[in-house]
Amino acid sequence: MIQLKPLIYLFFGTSLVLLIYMLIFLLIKNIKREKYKRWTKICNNIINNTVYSDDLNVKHHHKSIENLLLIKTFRKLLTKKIRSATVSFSGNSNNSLRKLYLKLRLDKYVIENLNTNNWHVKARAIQEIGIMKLENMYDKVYKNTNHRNELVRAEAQITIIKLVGFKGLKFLDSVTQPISEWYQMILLRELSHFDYDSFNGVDIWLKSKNTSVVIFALKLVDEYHLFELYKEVELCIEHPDEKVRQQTIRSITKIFNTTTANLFTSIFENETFNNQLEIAKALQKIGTEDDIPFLVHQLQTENIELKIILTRTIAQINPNNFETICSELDPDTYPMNLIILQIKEEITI
Amino acid sequence: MRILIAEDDALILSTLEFRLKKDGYDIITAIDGREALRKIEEHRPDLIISDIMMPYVSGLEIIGTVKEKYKDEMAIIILTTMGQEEVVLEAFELGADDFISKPFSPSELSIRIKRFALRKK
Amino acid sequence: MSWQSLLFDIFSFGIMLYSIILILSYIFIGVYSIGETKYYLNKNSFTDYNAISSSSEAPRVSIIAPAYNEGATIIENVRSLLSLHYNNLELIIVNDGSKDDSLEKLIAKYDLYKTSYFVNSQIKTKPVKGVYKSRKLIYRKLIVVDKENGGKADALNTGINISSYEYTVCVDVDCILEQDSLLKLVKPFLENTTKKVIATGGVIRIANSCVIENGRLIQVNLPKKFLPRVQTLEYIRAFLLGRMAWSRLNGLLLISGAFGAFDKEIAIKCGGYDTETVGEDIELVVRMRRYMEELDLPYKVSFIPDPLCWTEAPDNFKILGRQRNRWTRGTIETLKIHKKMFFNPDYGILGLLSYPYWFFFEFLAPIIEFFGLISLAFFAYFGMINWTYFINLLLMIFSFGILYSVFAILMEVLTYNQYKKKTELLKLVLTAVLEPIFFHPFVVYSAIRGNIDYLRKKKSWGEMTRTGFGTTNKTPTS
Repeated sequence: MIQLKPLIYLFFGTSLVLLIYMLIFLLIKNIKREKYKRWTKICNNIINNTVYSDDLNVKHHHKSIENLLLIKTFRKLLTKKIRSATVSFSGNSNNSLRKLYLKLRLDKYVIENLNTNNWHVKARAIQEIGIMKLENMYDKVYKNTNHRNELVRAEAQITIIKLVGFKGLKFLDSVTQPISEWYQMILLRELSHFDYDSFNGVDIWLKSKNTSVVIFALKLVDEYHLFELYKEVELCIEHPDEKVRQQTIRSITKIFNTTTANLFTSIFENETFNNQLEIAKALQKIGTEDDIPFLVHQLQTENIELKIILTRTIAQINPNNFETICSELDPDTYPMNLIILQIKEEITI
Repeated sequence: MRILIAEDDALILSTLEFRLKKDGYDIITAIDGREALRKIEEHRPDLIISDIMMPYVSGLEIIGTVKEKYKDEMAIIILTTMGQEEVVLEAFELGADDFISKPFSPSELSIRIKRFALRKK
Repeated sequence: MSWQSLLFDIFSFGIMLYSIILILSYIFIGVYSIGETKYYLNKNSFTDYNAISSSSEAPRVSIIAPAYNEGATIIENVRSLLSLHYNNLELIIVNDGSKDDSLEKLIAKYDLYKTSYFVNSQIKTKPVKGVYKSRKLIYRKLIVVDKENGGKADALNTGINISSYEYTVCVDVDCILEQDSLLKLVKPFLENTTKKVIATGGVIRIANSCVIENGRLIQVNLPKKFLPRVQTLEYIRAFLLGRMAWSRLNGLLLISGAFGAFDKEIAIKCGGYDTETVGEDIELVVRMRRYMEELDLPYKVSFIPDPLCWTEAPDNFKILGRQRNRWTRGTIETLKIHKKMFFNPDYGILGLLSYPYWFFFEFLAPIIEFFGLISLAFFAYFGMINWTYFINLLLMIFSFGILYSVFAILMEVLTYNQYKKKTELLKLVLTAVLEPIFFHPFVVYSAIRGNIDYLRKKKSWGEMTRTGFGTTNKTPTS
């Protein structure tokens, strides 16, 4: 039989230790809070003065600032505040805050943090470089754009865009790690802060072995209407990855020409169900009267979801003519009778 | 002129307060939507500067409530994040008077407020 | 050696072995969850949720909220749901044949009209009587569905049929959601590059004694009554430790029906919620996982440790007993439907770890405890019990229970620290000490009742009519 007494002591003892740890933690936190309150006031004051009057002479207001800056936690707090203010304000205030950051020599510590192995400290340093636009660190950041830790490489990619705009996209040439949809969204948003500047490489990225790069390139085509790449985009419609083809359908709809609708109708039957839906939706935007016979023919599908979308497409291509076409659509049998009713209501609103 | 600023980011709030006080306005601050609504009742500001995404009560609800209750007695400028065109449209539909998107320049905001002050006279 | 003593040896050895494995797995869960929570918190500090709310690329989400006789609070609840921070959203309120004036109230308040919306019944449900939308542009996200009564699962299925977006979020209409809860819940769907995320869930917390105004949580308080307070502790343990560890193992079985998101396509392909079980939320997750396993597709069920949803917990033994009884039946039904996966290597972690864990430590634990007690009486009658040893055994289990709770409280303090008053923490620790004595026996009792009810009602499956919506499996302990 197992000796139980030691276990009982062990469990009760550990509980007690955890409780004491909790108590000490809360106590220290309480003490710190008072100090933080004071520090927060100082930090806010420094930032307010900077934003208000471009007054960088911090020593003027806070004689002890140099001593305070030697304390790591204060430095962290001030850096955090400057960072968040820099993100919130544009124009002159933004410039002044960056000058303040450099004047207080806060950039010194960024390099230190950049070289650690602790991924979130490293990622934070990279983020700071981007916010403060420390262009001289471009190379150091660029090295991390294919880092194996997702957060580090994502922050590196975002920061590169922040530093040099569209030119920064060249990391897509070599990135082998996937870029999640989330970060694709963030990258596109970062780009939107810059004035559009023609950029090269999309044709190469469209052929990348990294499918997430292909998808991102397609999104760039979509976002910036890169008509000149029509031929290259068209090739992606045969990509083995379903998601790539789906994005291709979306993107090519944005740069369509007279042959696009035909392209869609020719691939329709061999596509996956999801992509058939996608094509039907795309034809709402670019379809013409010529496509209606094709759409009517496809209505024979058993799938009701597809039927609804196809009917909507037919209606939207020519709303005025929908009434006449309806007679061809089996308007008296279920479910077409109800679908037609719904679509009719939609186009009259 | 009395201005109420509703913004859940304490740093932005304090910066705006600092700046607009120096510009010579009477400033009331609120750190969330609920506090904002209460202080609007209490102080009847001439102008409200409000963030959209705030705890408890969103900026959109503030616009709705204020415009229903006080009509054009109070002007409203909303602060939004870049790219939220749809939200801006919704805000205008509800009766917002102007918007400014983050990141924004405090000087620009200050100029826009002056315009409202002039109109008020 | 007499037969009694042989039986006794087998009995004590069995109990011992079971306790040891149970304790070891709890230790593993506790320790293993730390890494996941830490990773999440670190990563989350980089996240700018504005990106999602401002992007047209943001996933499109349908919230489905079934309502049955909620007339008293429905307007408030809908308003609160409409104020969530999220743009690509449609809010589907399913009126499940309420006998009160819920529908009339909604029509009047939101200026609704009946559309000729065609309901594509991909999942079979009770008939839909009407689909309503608002004439006012500002309420364009709102869809109200009126249908014949069919229970919660049926109402959710109707919502899924009507939703036109790719993700569905199912909520209890009376839950208080944090305003950024949707942003957080949806993010995992965009994150994974190698595995398809099929469902995500967030932490449910207890709202008793909290200050709530206009359907929003204003101030968090620890429940003043004992019963909800114990449940608070239960929830902290289950969500902060249990779910995080299971999520890290990718073996999570339960996304709470009170607030969870699903990939709609997969949910429909699996046939939607099962209307035949009282544990429809756990059953759906298990079925979706099983579906992915059978097709051999890489997938993940994600869990977010942030407190996203607040709900009122039962504050008397009668309602609590009913709730636990239902959870027990839900667990049994789910385990039975999917018994094929029991230690089946074809189902990976799901078959080898998650399912057996649920079987042995969720389903079997109360039964073993109950029979342990009966056997104890039996052996005591024959004077075979070594009382010192027995009391030590109880003390050992008791002390471990406290250790686990204290660890959970510590994790809560180190992470979210929702209960800020010092007396609240003290009370929580005290609750941890009292729970095994005053609360746990009742939970075991209710579970046994659940087992009995399950065995009895088995024959009369067909006539199961449910009235209320209190059926959500908010948290079984783990």
